[in-house]
Order: sequence, then C-alpha cells, then structure tokens
Amino acid sequence: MSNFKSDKTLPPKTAKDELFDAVFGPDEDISDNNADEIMRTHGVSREQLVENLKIHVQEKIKKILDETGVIPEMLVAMLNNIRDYQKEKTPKPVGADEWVAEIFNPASMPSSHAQPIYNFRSRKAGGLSENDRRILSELEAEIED
Amino acid sequence: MTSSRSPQIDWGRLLVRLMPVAKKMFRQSGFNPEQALPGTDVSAEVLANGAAMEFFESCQRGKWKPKNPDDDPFPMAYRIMYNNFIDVVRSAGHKRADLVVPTTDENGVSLIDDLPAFDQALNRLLAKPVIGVADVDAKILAETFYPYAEGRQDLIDVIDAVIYCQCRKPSEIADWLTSPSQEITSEDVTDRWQVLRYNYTRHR
Repeated sequence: MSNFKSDKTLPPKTAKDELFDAVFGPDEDISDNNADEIMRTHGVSREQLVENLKIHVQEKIKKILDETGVIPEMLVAMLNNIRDYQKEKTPKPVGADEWVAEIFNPASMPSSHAQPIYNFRSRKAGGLSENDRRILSELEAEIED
Repeated sequence: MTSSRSPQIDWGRLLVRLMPVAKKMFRQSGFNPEQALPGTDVSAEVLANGAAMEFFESCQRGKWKPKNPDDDPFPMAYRIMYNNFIDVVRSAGHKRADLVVPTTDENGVSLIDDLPAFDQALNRLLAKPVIGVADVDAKILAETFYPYAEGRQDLIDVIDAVIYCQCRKPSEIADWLTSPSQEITSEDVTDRWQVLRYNYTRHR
C-alpha cells in the first residue's frame, strides 16, 4: 500500500452513480486485463496512450513557455519521467554481429525453439561435402589438363 | 534526468486503467467520450491525461511515495480524475442546472416528463422504491442494462439483483443469487462485473 491519504473528500456519489457501480462494479476496481481489453477494442495500446500523454505534456510546456516565458519545471520533470519510462520499455537494440551469432549459436537457443540446422564449413577447415569435393576435384583436373 | 523526488511511474499501466474509466464517466453522465464536454475542451482523453499530470505534481510534492515498486498509483490518480470530472461537469452544467434541478416549471408543469425514460424511471424508483417484477420503472431500468449482458443469463441475474432487489454490494448480490443448487460468491460477482463493464465501456 502507498502512503497516500486523500486530501480531498470525494464528492458523494449520486444515486445514479451508485446504481452504475452496482451493475458494472466500482471504477476503482477495474483490473489491468479488463482495461487492456477495453482499450484494445478502441484500437489503442498502452504505448499509444503514453505517447499521447507525452505529446500532451509537450504541448502544455510550449503553451506555458509562450505565454509566460517561464519553463514549467514540474512538467519538464514529468516529460523526462515519461521518456525514461519509454526508454525502459523499448527493447534493447541488438547489433548485427550479435544477432547473427545468436541465430547460429545452438547453445543460446532453448531446446523448445525449433530452428533449421545449417551446416556451414569453411574451406580453411577443409569442411567440404562429398559433392563439393567431387566438383573441386573435377575443376582441378580440368586446370591440369 | 528524472527528478530525484519522483519515482518511476508505470505510465502505461496507469493510463490504460484511467482511460476506460474516464470514458465510462462520460457515458454514464450522458456525454460522448470522444467529444469534449459541452462548453469545455475536456474530452475523456484530456481528463485522463490531466489526472496523470496532477498525479505527477502530487508525487513531486511528496504526497505519494511508494514504499515498494509494486505500489499502485491508480487509486490516487482515480480520485484526482473523479474530482476533476465532477468539477468540470458542475461548471459546465451551471447554465442548464436551472432546467434540471427543479421538477416543475414556473407554470407547475412537471419537467421530469421531459427527461429520458431512464432518468424518469430512476427518479421515480428512488422516490418510491418498489420491489417486484411488475414494477414498470424497474423494468425500464433493467431493460436499459440488459443489452450489456449480451444474452448471458449470469450477467442478467446481476442486473436483476441490483434493479429488482436493490442490492448494491457484491456480498448482497451474491447472497441474492445463491440457490440450493449453486453457490455464488462475492468473487463471482466481481468477475461478472468485469464482463459487464467491458461490454458497457467498449460500446461507443
């Protein structure tokens, strides 16, 4: 539990509010899953909501700055807080080398993750298939002729 | 850098709950959540974002300090949003309050008759609560909510318990719905509420 204690008394709910609460449940009790489902039906994701809030805050900062010439520090702090949150939620970028290495490293793959097995062999290691070896021999013979 | 005084807030988790509740507040009060309240520039999204901003300000002032990372900011943000909504509706409704509050006009003619059927039924039911399936006002109210049950009898049962039996708490609804063949718990009622809320809020 947080240490929050309301400094404002909630206005008493009307009879209509109480009726709606009794039919649909109090708003305070909305679950994450239910909220996600509802917003999905409106075609809006959590990420979009956060982005919209960020834009809203940016516009508010600009408006206050234009009107008063003062930078609203609280809103700037909020904007930074939202940006930090977005950075934290963004998947970590993976370099190309690291990505390729992960693909071809069977040890890094979970056993449940079915992947095709590639048989890469370098010529330095002499890793040629029988077919390749035959073609190579034929070419060498042609050159010698 | 984030202010040292403000904790990192899970904005996505907070907003995804504030937004449907804001939409529900609008719908419940007879307003379109996609449009601004008459005479204001406050839409459901502006209301939710405004609450988020005011909540953050409260954090900065030390009114909300989570003791652990799992502390939920939603209850405080919800209270802010609810208070703001009431304030906005009251301020926007001042001009029409004179038309809504009195029940008769200057000639003594009832103004209740001009209200939608739902409000008429609710007003009469609250003035003289009557329990019984034959009561016309209760039936109007029930019929208003039935579409959100989408044909599911278990959800219709909850609506009936609220309308016809004046049940308000989940325990009261559960008691009323429990039969010798089936026990209904408060948790069952809460689950049904979630479905009803989902059906109600996703209707545009």
